[in-house]
Amino acid sequence: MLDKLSSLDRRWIFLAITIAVIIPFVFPLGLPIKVSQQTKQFYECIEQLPQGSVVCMSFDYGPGTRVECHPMAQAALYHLFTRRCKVIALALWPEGALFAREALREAAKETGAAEGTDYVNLGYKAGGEVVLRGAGDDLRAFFPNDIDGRSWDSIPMLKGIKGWDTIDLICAWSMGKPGVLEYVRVVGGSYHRPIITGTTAVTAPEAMPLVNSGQIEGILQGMRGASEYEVMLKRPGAAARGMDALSMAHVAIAAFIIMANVIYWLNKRRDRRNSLVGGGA
Amino acid sequence: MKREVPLIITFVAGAVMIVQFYTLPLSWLGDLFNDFFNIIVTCAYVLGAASLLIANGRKIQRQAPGWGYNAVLLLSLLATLFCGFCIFPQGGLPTDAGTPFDWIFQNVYTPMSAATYSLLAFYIASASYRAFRARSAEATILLVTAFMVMLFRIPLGELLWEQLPILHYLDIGDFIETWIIGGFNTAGQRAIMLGASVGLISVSLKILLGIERSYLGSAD
Amino acid sequence: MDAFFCWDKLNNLIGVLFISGCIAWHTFQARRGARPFIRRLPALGALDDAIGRAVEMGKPVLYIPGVADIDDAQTLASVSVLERVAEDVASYDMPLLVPNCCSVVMSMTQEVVRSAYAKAGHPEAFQSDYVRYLCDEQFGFAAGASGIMMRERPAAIFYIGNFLGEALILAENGNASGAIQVAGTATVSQLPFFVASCDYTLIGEELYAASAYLSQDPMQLGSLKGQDAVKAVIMFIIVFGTVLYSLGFTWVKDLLTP
Repeated sequence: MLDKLSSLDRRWIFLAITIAVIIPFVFPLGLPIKVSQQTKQFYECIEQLPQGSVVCMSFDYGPGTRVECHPMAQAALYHLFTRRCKVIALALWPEGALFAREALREAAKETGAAEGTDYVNLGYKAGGEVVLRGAGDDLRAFFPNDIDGRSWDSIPMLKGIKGWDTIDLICAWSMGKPGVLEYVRVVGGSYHRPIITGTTAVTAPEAMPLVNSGQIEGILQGMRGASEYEVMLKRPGAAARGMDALSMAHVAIAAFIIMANVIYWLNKRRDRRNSLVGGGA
Repeated sequence: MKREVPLIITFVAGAVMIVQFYTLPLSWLGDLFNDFFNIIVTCAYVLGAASLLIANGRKIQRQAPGWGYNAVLLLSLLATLFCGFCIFPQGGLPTDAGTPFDWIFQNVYTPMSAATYSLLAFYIASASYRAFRARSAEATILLVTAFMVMLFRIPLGELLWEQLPILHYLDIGDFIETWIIGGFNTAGQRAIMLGASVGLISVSLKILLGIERSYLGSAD
Repeated sequence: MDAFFCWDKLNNLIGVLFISGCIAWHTFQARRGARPFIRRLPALGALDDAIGRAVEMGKPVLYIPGVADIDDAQTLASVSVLERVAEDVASYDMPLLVPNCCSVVMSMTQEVVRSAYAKAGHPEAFQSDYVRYLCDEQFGFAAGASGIMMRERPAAIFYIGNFLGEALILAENGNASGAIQVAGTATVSQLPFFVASCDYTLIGEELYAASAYLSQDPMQLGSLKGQDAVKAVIMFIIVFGTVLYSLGFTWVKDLLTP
């Protein structure tokens, strides 16, 4: 029995996790969400922006990590538009431009922000770090049109925007390469613009040294960060709804770890006893 | 000559990229070389597509076991290419909302990709069950740390912590963030990153100087 | 002069020159016969065992060179390891499967594997199906590579290079297929997953040292000694800078800030 449990078929584990995730969606737990210091910092970076500030938001995620990054983007857009800031969206990932369009339209519907005067979606540009360096003094050179083909000059909010120097804050939703590290190297390193980011929970530890050194001024870590941010904005969304399921999944994994160790310990004790009996005989 | 030419190209390209990084008037050279790279990568997509067509086409032709899956893959590839290149309104783009390409992106590609990513939750559980065992002192430290981070950085864990006598005076979320993640974890990560960065410079140097030539294939 | 040189990168240039100079000096010093000691790397020692197991079982070896393109140094380091693995596998006339996530990397790995089979005297054993392109999207690639693991049931799997979120999906499927697994990456966020799921893991700089370790080329081994010297200097600067900063002197920090 112990041996069987020790090498438990992983499908039982999968089944337990499935049940743990489904239960909170059927019976919501409504667990309180405590806001972390990191999320407060992120919130403050946007809160301190004067009205009319221009924020460049980079959508560098794909469909896989949409579930973690998209709620952050939606909440931040809501926050920026309610503070009357202007948003230039762009993407270093091809799929990012489409997610930017979706998030911008939803936030515009919610806040009444207008395309062209409050926000613009410049779309995707291939090249990663090259784009950031090339666009350094002249964003228009790399993004002559927005995603729908409107020319730079015909978009009112882009008047006066030249390079990174004319952007007040960079906000990068980043799940890999290219992502926030490229912004830190180019826009932070050479143009000294403040950078905030939202990452997946898995990649967050990699960004933490940059947060501690001040090269990134605020970070939202995975779905937890997104849910805390939604709570701060008093606008619970997809992330806050998912936290119950996340909690249950974590508890299930923790239970499996305890179970594995108890079995390991019992096995070890049995083996020791057997060897003593064998030695005595 | 077969090996010398690529080595010279590598050295020149590398040297130009280094020089342009420090000199303002030559920065255009870096952009130019990067444009070359993007063009090569884009052209190489044709190679990738050809590899897919050949590898899967052969299996379908031979009717190898599971050839139906290969057929689905090829049909999906061709259908997506057709939608992307041929079906979109005049003056518009294939990625515009409402086009067949956009439909495929929203309703096929996005959910499938998200489903694969979500498998991580299951795999993390099975890997934890197998790997986190208190076999030695080091493994026990790792186990306890992982357990704390996993359980007490979620609302349910924080709620449980607050029920504990005496211990609840300690802000567990703050402790994990400041000490475990911000302290030990960041210190360890920095050490690995520093070592890896020096290794990266070393590999780059060896490639530039032609000491490391594996990427050209074997010598004979 | 101000219009020509980026003065805010001067400290960066000095650092790069120092590190490169130190590594280059030790590299060329090694050519004169100075053979440095190099500690044992169990993960690289396990390469031969893993290949031997595959030969005994008559099953293929699977090598995944990461999901990054050729502009990533981890991919280049991976290709060096692939060369050695391919030569070993080819010498036993066994199949080596290399699925790729990027088409440029595919053309390079194809060349490396093909020439390894030719070098081993079995050019006819190489089949173009062995090295193929799967998908540029990381999770699509993970699904494709996992499919290969389940269908072909390789006896040994190597994950060497830059991996992102798909690392655990690959490693867990490899584990379920019963293969012996050796991983190596400098992507810090994915290291825990490989450590949990694989039998051996090359951590960070060990990946970059693999080529030197496997080839035992004196010049490459010399470069490792150079790296160690650089790390010693970095450690000294960290300790010295921390002490000075704690005492209120910020000039070490100022020197290192752009």
